Formats: sequence, structure tokens, C-alpha cells
Amino acid sequence: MIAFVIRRLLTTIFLLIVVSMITFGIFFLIPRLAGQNSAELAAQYVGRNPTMSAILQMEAKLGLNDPLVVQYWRFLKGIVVGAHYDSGPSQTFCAPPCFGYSFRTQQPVWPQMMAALPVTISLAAGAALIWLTTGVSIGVLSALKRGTVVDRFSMAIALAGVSLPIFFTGLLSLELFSYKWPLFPNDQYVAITANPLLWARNLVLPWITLAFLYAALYARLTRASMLETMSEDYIRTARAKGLPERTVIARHGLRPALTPILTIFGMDLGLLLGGAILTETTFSLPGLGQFTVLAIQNQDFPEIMGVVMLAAFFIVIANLVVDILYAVVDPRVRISLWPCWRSATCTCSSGPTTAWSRPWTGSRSTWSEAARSASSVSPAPARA
Amino acid sequence: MTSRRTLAITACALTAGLALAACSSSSTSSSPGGSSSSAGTGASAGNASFNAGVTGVVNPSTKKGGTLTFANSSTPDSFDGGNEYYAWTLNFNRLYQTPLTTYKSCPGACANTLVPGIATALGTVSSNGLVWTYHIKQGLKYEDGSPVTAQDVKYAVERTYDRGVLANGPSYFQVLLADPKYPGPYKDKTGDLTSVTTPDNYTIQFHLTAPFPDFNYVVAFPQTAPVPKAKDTGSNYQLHPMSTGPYMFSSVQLNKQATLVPNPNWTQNEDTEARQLPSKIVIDLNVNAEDIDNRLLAGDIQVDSQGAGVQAAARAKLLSTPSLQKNTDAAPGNRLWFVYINSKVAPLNNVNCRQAVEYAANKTDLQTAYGGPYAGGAIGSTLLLPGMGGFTPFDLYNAKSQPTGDLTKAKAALTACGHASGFTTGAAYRSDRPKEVAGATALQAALGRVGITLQLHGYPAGSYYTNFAGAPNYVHQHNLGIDFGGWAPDWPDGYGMLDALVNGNAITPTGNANVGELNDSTVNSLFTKATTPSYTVAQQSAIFGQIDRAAMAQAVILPEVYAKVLLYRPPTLTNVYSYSPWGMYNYAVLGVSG
Amino acid sequence: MTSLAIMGLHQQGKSTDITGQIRLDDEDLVSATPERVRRLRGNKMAMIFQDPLTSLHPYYTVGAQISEAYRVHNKVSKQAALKRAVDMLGRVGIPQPAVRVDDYPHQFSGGMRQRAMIAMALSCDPELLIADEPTTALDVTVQAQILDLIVDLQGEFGSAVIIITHDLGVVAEVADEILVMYAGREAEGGGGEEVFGHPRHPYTWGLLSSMPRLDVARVDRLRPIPGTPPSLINVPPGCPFHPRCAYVAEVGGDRCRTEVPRLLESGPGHKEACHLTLAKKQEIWERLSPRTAAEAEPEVEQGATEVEAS
Repeated sequence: MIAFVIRRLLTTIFLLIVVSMITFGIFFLIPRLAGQNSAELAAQYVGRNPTMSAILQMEAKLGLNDPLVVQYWRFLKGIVVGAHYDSGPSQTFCAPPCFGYSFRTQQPVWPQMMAALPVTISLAAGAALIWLTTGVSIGVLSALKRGTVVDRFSMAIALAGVSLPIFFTGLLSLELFSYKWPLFPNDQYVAITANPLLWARNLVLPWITLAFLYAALYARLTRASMLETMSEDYIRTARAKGLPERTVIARHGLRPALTPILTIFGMDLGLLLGGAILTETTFSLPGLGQFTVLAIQNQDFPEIMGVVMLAAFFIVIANLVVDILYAVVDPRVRISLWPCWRSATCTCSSGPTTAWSRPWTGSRSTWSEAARSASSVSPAPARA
Repeated sequence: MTSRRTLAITACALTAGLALAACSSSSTSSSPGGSSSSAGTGASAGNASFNAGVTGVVNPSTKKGGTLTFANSSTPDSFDGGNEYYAWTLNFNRLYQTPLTTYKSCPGACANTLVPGIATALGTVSSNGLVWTYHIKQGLKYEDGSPVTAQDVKYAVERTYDRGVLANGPSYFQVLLADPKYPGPYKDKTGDLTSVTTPDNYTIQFHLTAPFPDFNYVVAFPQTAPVPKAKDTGSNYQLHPMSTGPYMFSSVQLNKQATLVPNPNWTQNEDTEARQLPSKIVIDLNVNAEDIDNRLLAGDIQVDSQGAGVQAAARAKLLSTPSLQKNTDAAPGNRLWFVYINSKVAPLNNVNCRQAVEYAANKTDLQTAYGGPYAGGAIGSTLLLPGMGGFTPFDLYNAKSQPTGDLTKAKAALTACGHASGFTTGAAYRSDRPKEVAGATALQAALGRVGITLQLHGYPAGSYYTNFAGAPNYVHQHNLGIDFGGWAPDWPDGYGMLDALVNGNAITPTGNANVGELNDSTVNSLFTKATTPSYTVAQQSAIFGQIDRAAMAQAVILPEVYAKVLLYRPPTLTNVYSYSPWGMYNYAVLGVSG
Repeated sequence: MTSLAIMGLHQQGKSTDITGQIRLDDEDLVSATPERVRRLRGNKMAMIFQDPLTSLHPYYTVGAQISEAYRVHNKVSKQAALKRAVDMLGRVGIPQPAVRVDDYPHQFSGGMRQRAMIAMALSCDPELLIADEPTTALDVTVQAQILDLIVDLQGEFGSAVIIITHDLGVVAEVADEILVMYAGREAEGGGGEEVFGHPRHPYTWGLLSSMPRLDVARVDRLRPIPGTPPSLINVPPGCPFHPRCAYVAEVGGDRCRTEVPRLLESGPGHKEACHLTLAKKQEIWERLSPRTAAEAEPEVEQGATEVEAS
């Protein structure tokens, strides 16, 4: 298992490097192909009506006239070792991981992202809790009561949830519940450490807006998964054993039905941690999503790079966690990853593929031997 | 399914409602219900009514206390006075920093007048016009009690030379003073800016390379607000600039929020034009633009600090609801919206073709595209804004008398330039500015009436001036004879308005604002003449009036509207009035009641 | 031993309503409450299915599933149930049952899984075991072992067994009584040797003729039954087999097409549903398999034993 995790982490690093190269390329190469030179790029970060000298000074400060490879190397080095930055009267040191300094505000990017992250986590975690509980229960209920009014009604609401864009539901909920009836005034975000009640109150509308979309999705997914699971053979066996229907659904049906939901949830959460752009913008939440939008609008390369890498990192880690979780939940996957998990016939020195086949060939050879040596009537040797 | 249908109907209704609200500006603004241009200040003092804040002070009060909350849909370019250029940040800066000179705090054109800031009086200039002398008031203190000296002002100017650290502010010092190559105090630790001298602790002198009568305006920028060298942290100074204004920062959360509290070491003497009324000032950043209007109307915030007016949805609501309209001002926006007509792209290199464009444009449609008479502005025919020195309401192309266009004259002009059946050229505009999008379509339709075909090209606003319209090479290569733009002057006089737009010497390869590329020797020499040291303000203004006429005769700019912004002032706001230097409310004097 | 009789069970047109009775130990199940039927499932009547890999829950260990089956109907502790599971696994011939009890179904081979299913089914000592195609998913050697197991356990536990299968070899191996069904109806029923030796229904003739035999010269061609089985929603009128039957003419008239033949006893313990007369049936069978006369019943058994040993 450790080997598996280590291998995946190495792949993660490789993937992040590729992502950084692509982002770097998009930001710098494409305008260059369109004919823009580095001075014109630097001019975007200077005020109105700049003199040529100002543009060139900025260009030199940001290192934009260096070859792309040098700039990329500088960026990579910063992440691993940190970087020094000329802040005027002195040099400041930016500790690793250093994603550089914002082109626009000349402030370090990493602390800004770390300040924005709790907001996004608050938003994502709260919404996730809501959508998991409501979406999954509605989905299960719909599946069990398939074809009834409950089912049709839930799926209609789910259709609305999936189809209505967040900026619509968000603005609508703001209009109704913030301004028309001031139940949840849309104030600035308050950290949970400062005032938990206010923190929660200001997040209720964003939570519900975000959760509405995902709950709808999950209700439909859970319903489909549940329906599929309940038509499996082992459900028939469970009923044949005389189990009460309640137990059949809860113990035999839910677990396999929810396994794909769990993995999708991991992916969704990973994506969301990279920034719920629409929700944060609509509700003015200073999270990673809003940070991303502003970085792109301002063409602020270090911020763009930082947020892309962070988002990619979350997604890859989410992938990893999901894979591990899948192995924890589904024994079939577990054995292929961790072959010595409670297996009597496995000696742990072998790799996954051989161990996967070992219990099979072992038993098969035993049986065929027994069959060969069997006498005409009694199958007793086979039983031994 | 009933629920699905109900939801769909609600959705349609809401979308329709929003759409209606968005495009109703001209139709609903037909009867404002109040005086649109009231004469005199008596009509408005103390009483809120429509446009009361344009000419008078609404809710005058000396009451202290309360929290004044600003909100902005983006962020300032900086809180550091040496690194600011946005109009609203310059306005906001008055709360915590004070330059050598500043503008008088009064409504209307009165505020175009300069008054001393930390200086004792406006600067005096030597007879050859090259040396400007200012005396600093004595006994001024920073927020921590340390004294303000002239050396601090010199240092403040010096640090703006390091454009790698402070990139955003204006470049006037580098252009006007004698050592433009000075790298700044961070890189040059032993030398200094020799063209700025401090004969004693309270005197500062600026040595120019050529006469520049508007220098008092130059030092009105917060680049001259004193900065103590010991406390300067370069690019981090924006996190806590040392205050010489009525307020000081208690916290700055970059991109989120900043809070200011009264500066205990401030005296009224330090800045006669600012006030210290609220007990706390908060500015929320990166708030959703639509939401700002909602919060403003609900009274959760008091000011939309961007000062560019409310969004389309709120606009309709304000103009059609009497109870809201009385808290609304269609304030002069200190800006001209216009269209450049490039004089190098054929066939517009012929002045007659350019004049054809001037005649053929439908100014009323353009006005509607920019938001109508209240939120867009009044149809313009000059480059100078009303109220500026030298402004005369001449109208060379019948923009006011025939606002839908003078097609007869247009066709005659086309014939004169040899394209009687019209011609084709490219038109550039900023695709993320709805006004310009609408304007471009309107202009295309209007010019099409005389056979001038426009090929529209949208560009992102952020790089419009650096890479596209403001890069002459690009304009030539892509035949962008028509380019949408706007201009808010750095200071409210002819120089601030006209120099960058029509001075041939102001053309730059990138970030160019003279997109018309007018390089007319008459105009250029008039600019030089305006710097004659012996001229009075009236004489200078007359010259700028001539430049205005000459440039318009060359038809390198098609004026659209003298911008207006539709501002809302919540009833709890006191001392509110429209402030002409920046075209929004004066932030340095506001208070909160109730 | 208690016997299960399925009588008159058939589908009415498109619906799947059951008319008639299903009696277990003199108790009718069709009219019993669902709760009562649930209590009987796993307890007095148990079932094993065709594909043990999909029929066992992949997420729970074999031991857990067997224990669960036991604990539903018996109030015992978890340890006791687990002990029972180990015990059952041992009795169905799984080696090291105490260790294997903690394995997951996919860690077992096909034959072992089927044994585990059987263990689970028999854990509550049911009076009836229904086996739906128990050997279809297994290879031939394992098939034989499973069948032997079923027969042995039947003796050991004293349960009645219903095996549903299409494999005549399996039928021949284990069946005391045979019920041939076609299109959801009984076609022929009777003792194993009787039905194999003296089949009296055209469908049964078809089945037997299409089966390859080791003890016959390879001159004869296999004779498959022409046509395809009907959709159960659209059963042909009259005798359901008549579209594929070669002997409709010999019945005479339109009888096969219009009249549903009833299951009638033609001999002691031998019933079939066909309009042909007994004499006709015997004559046709004589015609169809000249080999029949040459076979003695003991030979059939011997052939089966040989198959098993190899």
C-alpha cells in the first residue's frame, strides 16, 4: 500500500510540473505568437500613460525580457528553494513554496492564496455536507419509490437544480432572502475563528445555492446507482435468505450503491477546493475562486500560476484519496492493490499481479489433483 | 410537471424583468420629477432631491460618529499615495494622506480651484518658469506624532522614480524634472534627486527643464504626500502608509477589506479641505458589482467607491421611483467619451473623410448607447469639458443642432475626399465594456447610411491601450481607423484634457492616448505657447480653447458625451456633493448620521 | 422427507399472476402474508443461484454472509453464528474453513464459491433446497463435485431438492423425479428413469434426440428441435409446443392448435400433456431411438460414473 501511495505522489509531482509548463506556455507563448513583445506585456502592469522608461523598468523588474526557459526555471526554483524579491528599501525573502509576487500588487502570492483558502474550504465543506445528506437521501428514496409521485417530483426538482445556473439561483436567493426579506444579509465574510455564528449566517445562502446544484446531481446519480444495485443478483440472494427488506436495502444495497457516489464526491470536492468561481463571485466571498477570476482579469501571471497549481494539486490529491477510499470500501479493489489483505494463501513478497492470481491457481491445482486421485464414487478427497 | 412549469415561468418572468430593467434607461428617464439642472444652491441645501448633490451640499452636518462603509467591485491600484492613478483611489487617498496642494472642497466648478494642502500656499515660480518653490506648514505630524518635513516630501517624490517598485503613478516628474534617469533611492543609496532641493526643513524647490505652468496641479497628486524614509517599506508600504490625513489605517487585508480610524495627531490645519467625522471607515473590496447597488439601496453600505455610477438594473429603479430618485445625482463624470478617428489609416488620412465621419455619426444613438442623458451624459461637440478654463460650446459638425447626423454635409465631405460612395475601415472597441459594444454597433449603423462600412473588432480593456488601439503599429497594420475611447483628465484644465489626446509630441509606441495621431505643427506650437511663463491662467485658458477648436477642425476625435454618472446617496450620508476633479462624491468630507 | 408438489403453476397471458397453490409442508405460500413467506425463506426453504460470483455480496466476507443467513432465523451470538459458518464451510468440503471464512467471494474459485452458496443455503437446515442452474457456471469436473455434494448433503440434512437445469446430464445424475417444462407449462413429469427411458412428450423426445451420446456410433446426426422457444408474453394458442412439433398431423384435426392439452397420467407416476394417444407416443419413441431397446438402465448409471471419474 505504501508503495502505491508513493508511486502516486511521484506521479502527482510529475503532473504538476506538466500543468505548470502548460500554463506557462499559454500565458507567455500565445501572446508572443500573436506578435506581442515583452515590453508590451510589461506595459499592462504599469499605470496609465506610462513613459517608455517606466515600461522598461517594469519589464526588467518582472524579468519578462529573459528567455522563457530562464523565467520558467526561476519559477521552479522559487517553489523549491524560495526566492528573494526587491521590495524597495530591502530584499524580502519568500520562503518555499514561493509562487512569486503578484505582478500588480507586488505582494507574495502564497500567503494571499492561503488567506483565501479557508473561505473556499468553508464554502465547500458546508455545501458538501448539505448536498451529500439531501442529495443522497432523496436519490435513495426516489430509487426505492421508483415511479411514484415522490420519485417524479424529486427528479423534477433535481432537473431544475442541475439546469439552473448558479449565478441565477444565487442572485435570486440574494434578491429574496437578503434584500426583500432580510433574513440573511449579504455581509462580508467573517472567519469562523472570529465569530462562528456570523460566519455561518453569512454562508447560508452560498451553501444552499451551491448545494442545490450538487444535491440535484447527486440525487439523480444516487437514484441511478441505487436502481442498478437493487437489481443485482446478490440482492436477490439476500431476499432469498429471508432478510427483512429494510436490512436488504441498508446493508446489502446501500453500500455498493454509494461507492461510486463516494468516488464522485471526492472528485467534486477536489475540484471545488480549487475555487467555486461562480458562487464566490456572486456572493462576494474572498476565496480561491474569486482570486482566480481577478488574477485572470488582471493578467497577473504569478497569481494565475499559483492558483492553477493549487487547484491541480487538490484535484490530484482528491484522485488519490478517492482511489484509496475505493480500495477501503470495495474488497475486490483492495485485494488487487494490497494483496496480503487477510488472504490466507498469499505470501507478501510478491507484487500485485502475481498475488492476484495466486489464490486462484493455488486452489485450482488442489482441486484438479483431488479430482485425478478421486476414486469412482466418493468425492471425499475433494473435501479434504 | 407542475413544479417544473412554475419554476420555468418564474425564471422567464425574472429574466424578462431584468432585461426590461436593463434597456429602459432612456424611456423611463423621460420625467425625472425634479429639477435636472437647478440654478443656485438654495434649492438643495439640507433637502434631498434629484441632482441636489450636483450643485449643492446635501445633508450638511458637523456631527461626528458612526461607521462609514465604502464598497468597491475591484481593488485600488494601491493604497500607497506614491503608486496611485485611479480617480477613486486619489479621492480616497485624501482621507489619510495630504499632498502639497489639493482641490477646494466645494460642489460644482468651484472645486476645480487648487488650494494649499500641506503647503502654506500654492507654489511660486521663478521668472524663467523653471523653479517652483513651496513652503511646508510647520508643526504637522504623522499618525505616530513624528514631524513632517520637506525632506519627507522630497523622499516621497524620489521613491516614485523606481518604477519597478512603484509602477502605477503618473510620470510627470520624470518628464518635467531634470534628471529622469535617477533610479530611485532604493537602487541609489548614496545619491539623490538633484532636481528637487530642500534649502531648509520647510522649503522644497523643484527644478524643471522647461516651463510648465500647471505644476501646481502636478503636485496635487499624492506622490508629494510626505513619506518618512525610516518607515518606507517599498512595495509593502501600501499595507500601512503613514498618515497625514484625518484617518489612519488600522488594518489592511489585501483584496478584501481595509479599516481606518481617526488619526489622533491630525489637525484641521494639516488639510483644510478634509473632515474627520465618522469614528470608523471601512472599505470592502471585490464585492460583486450588482450586489453593491443592492447593498447601497438597502443602506448596508454608504458609498460605491468606484464612483462610476450604478449598474443598469439599479439605474432604471432609481429613475422611476420618486422616493429613490430624490437621493440620486446625475453627476458630471469628469470624462469625455469619444471615438478617435485615426489620421494615418487611409482614407482617413484625408481630413475630409474624417469630417464625413463627424457629420454622419448619430449622436443621439451614441448617447443612448452610453446610458442616455442621465447615466450617459450630454451630447458633446468639444474636447474640453464644460466648466474647464477655455471651454466654449462651439459645434463644428452640427452635433447639437442635428444630433441624428447631418447626412448632407457628410456626403459632401465624402465627395471632397474622393470617396463619394463611402469606404471601409476597421473599428476597435473594448469588448468588456457594454457601453462601447453598444456604441460600436450604433456607429456602424449610422455611418452605414452614407456608405462608410465599419468592421468591428473587440479587444480586452486591460490591454486595449498597451497592445491594440494604443499601439500605433497595430492600428496601422489592422486598419483601425475608428477607435473607441474616453478620457478623464489628470487635472481639470486644458492641459490635462488635451495634451495626451492631441499633442503630436505625446504619441508613444505603446500606451498611446493620441490615437488619432494628430501631429499638427499649429497645435503643437500652441501647446508650447501655453507654457509661456508670463501668461496668466486666463491667457493659458484661451490658448487651450484655440487648441480645442484646431483639433476639432482636424476631426481626429468624434466627441460623444460629456459623461455623467448616476450616483445614489443613502439618506444617512452627510456632506454629500459631486466633486469635479474626479467626477464622483468628495470622499474626504463625508459623514454618517443616524 | 417432505415432498414439494408444484401444481397448476402457469402464466395467464401477459400477466405474471400466479394462480393455483404452492404448498410447503401443507402450507400454501401464494395466499400467505409476505411476512410469513419472508420468515420461511432461508429458514425452511433455501435457494442457490446460477452465478455464485454475482450472487454473493462482494463487500462482505463469506463468513459474514453465512452468519447473517443463520442469525436472521436463529437468535444466537455473532461468535456462535461464525462457528456455524465455519462448520458449514467444512461440511461442503472447503479446506481450512476457519481461515477461508474471512475471505471475500472473489478470493474463492468458482467451485468453492458454489460450495459456499450451498453452505449458506443449508445453514438453517432447510427442508427444501432450490438450486437454479447450480452447475452452469462451472467447468465439468467441478460440476460433478458439486452435484455429488448436493446429493450427499441431501442425505445428510434430509432436505428435498429442486434442481432447475437445462443440462440433461445433470438431470440424469441426480434426479429422482423429473418435471419437464415448456413455455411455462408442464410438459411431462415422472420418475427419472421412467422419463428418460420412456419419454412421452414430443419436447422430451426432441431434448433426448439432440443430446450427443458416448455409447452410440457417430453415424447418426444430432436432431435439434426446429424453431425457437416462444416468448412467454406471447404463448401460442392451444398446445404451446405445436409450432415446433412434428406430430401435429398425427393428432388429427385442429386439436393441437386450439385445445390446450391437460397434464394427464398415462402410467404410474408418469404424466404428460399431449394430445397424442399413448400407443402413438410409444410407437413414435420406438421409431425415434432404435438405440433405446439396446440400452439397459444400469448402463446409463455406469456411463455417468465414468464421466465423473475422469
